[in-house]
Amino acid sequence: MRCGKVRDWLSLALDGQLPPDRTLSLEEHLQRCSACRGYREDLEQGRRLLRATEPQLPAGFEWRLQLKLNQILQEAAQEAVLPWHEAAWRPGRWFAVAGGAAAVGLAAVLALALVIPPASDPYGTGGAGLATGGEFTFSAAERVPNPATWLPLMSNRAGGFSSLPVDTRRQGPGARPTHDPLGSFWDQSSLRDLKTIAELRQRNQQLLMVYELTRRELQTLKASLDSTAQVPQHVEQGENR
Amino acid sequence: MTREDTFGDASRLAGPVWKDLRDEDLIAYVQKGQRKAFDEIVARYRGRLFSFILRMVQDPNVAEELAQETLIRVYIHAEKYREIARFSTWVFTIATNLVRNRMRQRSRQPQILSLNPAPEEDELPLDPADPVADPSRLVEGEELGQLIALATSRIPEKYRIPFLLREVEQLTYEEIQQVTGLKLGTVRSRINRARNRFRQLIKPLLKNEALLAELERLEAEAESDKDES
Repeated sequence: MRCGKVRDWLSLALDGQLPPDRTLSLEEHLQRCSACRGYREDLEQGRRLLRATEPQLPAGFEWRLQLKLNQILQEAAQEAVLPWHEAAWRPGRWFAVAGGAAAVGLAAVLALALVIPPASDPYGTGGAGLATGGEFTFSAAERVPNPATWLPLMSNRAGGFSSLPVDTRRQGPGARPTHDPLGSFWDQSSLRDLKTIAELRQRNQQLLMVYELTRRELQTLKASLDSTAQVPQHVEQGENR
Repeated sequence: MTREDTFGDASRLAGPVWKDLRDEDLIAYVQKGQRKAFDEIVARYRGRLFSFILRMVQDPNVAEELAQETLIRVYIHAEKYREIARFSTWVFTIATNLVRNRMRQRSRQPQILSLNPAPEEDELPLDPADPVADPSRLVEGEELGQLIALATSRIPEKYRIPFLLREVEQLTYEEIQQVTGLKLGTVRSRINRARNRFRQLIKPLLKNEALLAELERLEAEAESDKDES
């Protein structure tokens, strides 16, 4: 039997995958061939070396993992409670939502500017808010925006409000696939996990605080080490002078 | 203990009990919302995943990022796991896909400079200036690890994945087939080729008696760590 063939078999034999009849032929060959015996020893040593020299996990791996996971779960929870959940990841709808939000923001700013009179009246508009010239004024009713004009922007497509995740994705063969970054996880268990998420959020805050404290301690330690490392140089320089 | 007994009441399980459960039982608890079961999974797999990924990507930061991404996916997609395959096979399938994606991204980026790229095929001769090729030096713990990492990085990528899954993670050929999507014959031949290449690379080291002594010391250390845990 040729050594090349034997070496192919040796790899299989090392994994216990060589049939018994071939194992016998292999053993016979190995008794006669020192080169192939050396080859087998090398393979075994290689395996031992690989297993004995596993890289060490970096310090703080688990902390960073927990922080990352908690952050992802928080984001998912926020997404799950959004009333326009269905519109998630559809750019066209996001533009509509962004436009709506901008309109609401603008309305709110205008309302504040109109309802709350300025402490002083530097422009001499007589309480006309942003209108300049003092000629253009609003009645009390006009100063308060009508909720009916902005409430629909916050409602979901079903026409009502909801603070709970509403899965209105269409089902059936004609359903359009929607991009859900967390797969089916939140579809099935989002309600059940809301309490857990609140706890996770709290824990995340605690972790962040501990992380920040540790980071500051390390900085202080490093600064003190740096300062002690510099002292001998000054002393030495002083002595030389 | 039957499976029903094991799953009788999750709330009664105290900390140490998690350690006695199989991976497949732990993930079943994760599916029921038990975060502590996931912590145990993290404890079991963090080192293995980091080690496997680091040996593939050779960048500790990327290895950490991908190992964490793997574990996060395990948690988030826990509901998708079904016990038709071993849990470790599922985990390493996720990790392997992430590693492959990252390598594909990397290969698309313009190469500025690569000092020690893995060869495409395994016929390349050893570099005589390679530190692995100097058998006379005294080799110690961490340096030995670096030399082995260097040798591993010289194995072509397509052979390295099945090789590491077999040699380090001890997955069966069938499991490696599931993880990689390769045919069984291809798995066998790639492992064989990778072993041959790895042997060529570490051959000079194997003549170093100090190294063999160091290897025995490391093995004894690992054994005592296992006993303590």
